[in-house]
Amino acid sequence: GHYGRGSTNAHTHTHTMAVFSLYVVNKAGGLIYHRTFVKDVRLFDDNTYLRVASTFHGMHAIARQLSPTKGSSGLSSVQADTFSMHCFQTLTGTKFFVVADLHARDVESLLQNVYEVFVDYALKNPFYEAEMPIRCELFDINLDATIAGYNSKVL
Amino acid sequence: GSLLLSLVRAVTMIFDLYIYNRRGVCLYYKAWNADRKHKNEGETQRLMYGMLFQMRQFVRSISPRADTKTFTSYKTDKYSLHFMETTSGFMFVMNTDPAARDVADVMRHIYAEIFVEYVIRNPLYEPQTPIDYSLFKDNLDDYVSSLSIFRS
Repeated sequence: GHYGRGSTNAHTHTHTMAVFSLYVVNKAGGLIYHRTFVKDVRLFDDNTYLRVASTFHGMHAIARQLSPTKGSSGLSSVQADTFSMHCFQTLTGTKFFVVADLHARDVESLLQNVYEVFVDYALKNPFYEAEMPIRCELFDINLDATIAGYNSKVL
Repeated sequence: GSLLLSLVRAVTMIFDLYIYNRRGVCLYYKAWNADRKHKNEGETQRLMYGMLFQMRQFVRSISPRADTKTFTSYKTDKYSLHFMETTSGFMFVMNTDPAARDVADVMRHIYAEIFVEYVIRNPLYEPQTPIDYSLFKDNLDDYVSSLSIFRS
């Protein structure tokens, strides 16, 4: 089935320190939500987003296996030469990860806020089934507001 | 001078180092503070290489930009992995504590001043083979020890 797909909501035009997009991945590595928040970034087709989610799910786990020290978590962030990625995993294995500007800061607390929006408008929605695509309009609206608040502060 | 640089350097813990050639052969591995013993080092080295390769592809495929070439590091709650690929195709991987900074400078120094000097420029070194020269190993150990002295 299709993952939940908020419409691209372009309210940010400059990208300094902004968050560009969000992926939500269930505990089996399936993409259950994807949304892009800014204009002028590359967009891909549905299959690419699905592949990205499952690839990340695998690497998240391998990072723990490759740890040189005991008790490591999975991937929490990745720095590329031109952007960054940050991940939050819940106790039940759902992963929220964002693609952001290279210099984005305080993304961990933003991810916590995103998680709270997920709890309030998806998990607590009686029509939402866990691990399934998120299709809750209130989730989209409140997520959008949360990201807009973060992106407007860094401009 | 370099002593002053050592004083302000923020690398507090270096766990280990991997050096790969462009074909994915692990030429060198050294652990200074790794408290996690992998049952099969060879297997871990292959898994690491696979991860590097996949991560590099991954960042290109999710990038919001068309000019993304590579990843530079990743973090978990307990370690940070730093990655550097040289123009000649060697890959350096250094695992440190998650708060370490300026690790790219450390890897560049290891490559340019120790690896090139004692391996590449060694006329006896057979390319693509595992590195086993005491000059290389001792200089590397000395350098890494010098970083740990000035802990924050």
